[in-house]
Amino acid sequence: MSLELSRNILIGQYIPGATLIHRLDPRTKILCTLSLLLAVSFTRSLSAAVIYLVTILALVGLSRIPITFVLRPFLRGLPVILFFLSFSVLYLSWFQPGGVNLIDWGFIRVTTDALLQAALSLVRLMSILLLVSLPTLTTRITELTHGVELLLQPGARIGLPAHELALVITIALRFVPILTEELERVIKAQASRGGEIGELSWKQPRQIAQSLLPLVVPLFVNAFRRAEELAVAMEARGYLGGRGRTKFIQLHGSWIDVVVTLAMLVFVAGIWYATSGRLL
Amino acid sequence: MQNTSSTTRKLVITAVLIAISIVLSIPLNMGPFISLGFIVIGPTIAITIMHVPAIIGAILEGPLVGLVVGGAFGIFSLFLASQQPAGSPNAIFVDPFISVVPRLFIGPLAWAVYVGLKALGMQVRLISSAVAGTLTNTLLVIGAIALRLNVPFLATLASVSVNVVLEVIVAAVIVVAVVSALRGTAGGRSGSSV
Repeated sequence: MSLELSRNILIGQYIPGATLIHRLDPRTKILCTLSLLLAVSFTRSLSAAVIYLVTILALVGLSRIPITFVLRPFLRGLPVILFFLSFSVLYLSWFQPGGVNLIDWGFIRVTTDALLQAALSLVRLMSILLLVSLPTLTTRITELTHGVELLLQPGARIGLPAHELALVITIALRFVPILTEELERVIKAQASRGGEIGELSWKQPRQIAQSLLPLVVPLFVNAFRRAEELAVAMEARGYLGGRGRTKFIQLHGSWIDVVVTLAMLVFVAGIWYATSGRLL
Repeated sequence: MQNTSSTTRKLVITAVLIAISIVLSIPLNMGPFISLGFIVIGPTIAITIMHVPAIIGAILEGPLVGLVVGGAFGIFSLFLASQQPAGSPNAIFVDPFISVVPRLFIGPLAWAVYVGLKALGMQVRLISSAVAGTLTNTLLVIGAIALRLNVPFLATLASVSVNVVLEVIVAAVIVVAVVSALRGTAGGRSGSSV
């Protein structure tokens, strides 16, 4: 039983580099990721999904991040995904027949349309996985936070809390190590009083429930106490919300960012237009 | 503590609840606790309490805090699925329509139930609110999986029926314990805080 929880945190994995992808403005990366994410999530065409996937793979290659590193979770989850998909192939073949029947054994039937649908789901999941990893792997978390705040800025006029959201993200990330340490202390305190957290097996549900409460309740209560102290401290130092605040870190986009963003939008929309209304 | 709910307070509490959601998912590998928020209690059964911060935020600070905390929990579960799975292979959660969108509704629904049952006793309100929040999480996530992967809703729901019952019970116990503890200590500052 290891008690050094902080080793297990994997948030904000960032692989430093000097590639074009690393040097792009965080706003560019967020916008490009979002447009690809929306397109790949909603496309009903397998060929469009494959083209998007190839594009994303090219971006991963450009960023020099080892492809096996980003794909590992997908490969680990593959058995479960395939289980779900085989279920879905049987279901679709039965209830929405279309295309050619490849297998027809009475109860069990497999059609080409259902297989294409399953392939689309698979390509889609893989693309989304790569897409959500790429920005955090190539951008520092503080830069991403500033990017989000600046992107939401235009919405601030209609009441969108851009500054507040960025502040919440920053405070939350700052609190993770503090609360982890606190949890560690509570677990040690329980262990020193004879709490057998690590030695329980799933055959003792009552004991598990009993050991859960003394861990979770102090975690919440301590966190709220700290939150209250922080709120008082912020107000005592004159924090009045986002209005009129200036920033220490300034983001400077270049013309490359504009070109990349526009090119990506045109590309995504073009593929979408060319393949709409077709399954293949 | 209820009357002086300033914006700063709400912001900080939202942030802290998000941090708790993250801490709940840190791998522990201690017996049945894969992480504090993900507990194995049977040969094939694991339950989660990761949605509880959203419910507690909604009860204490209103629907908006619940919504933001739930959304952050969703984004984080998406993020975890894209990194290395903490416990089970949960790679389908990289789809935001499975991981993020359903979680946005946990807080607002838990809040609606909590406020709607004003006539009843505090314990009943807290328990109902926890039940509503938990069921929202399960049903909407299963619904999203059914929709995105084309699998039948009821069959998927049946496969997690035991989890649902246990999760509802555990969530209710935790919500009652935590909210009572917070209401008890924050007001009078009586007793130990650790």
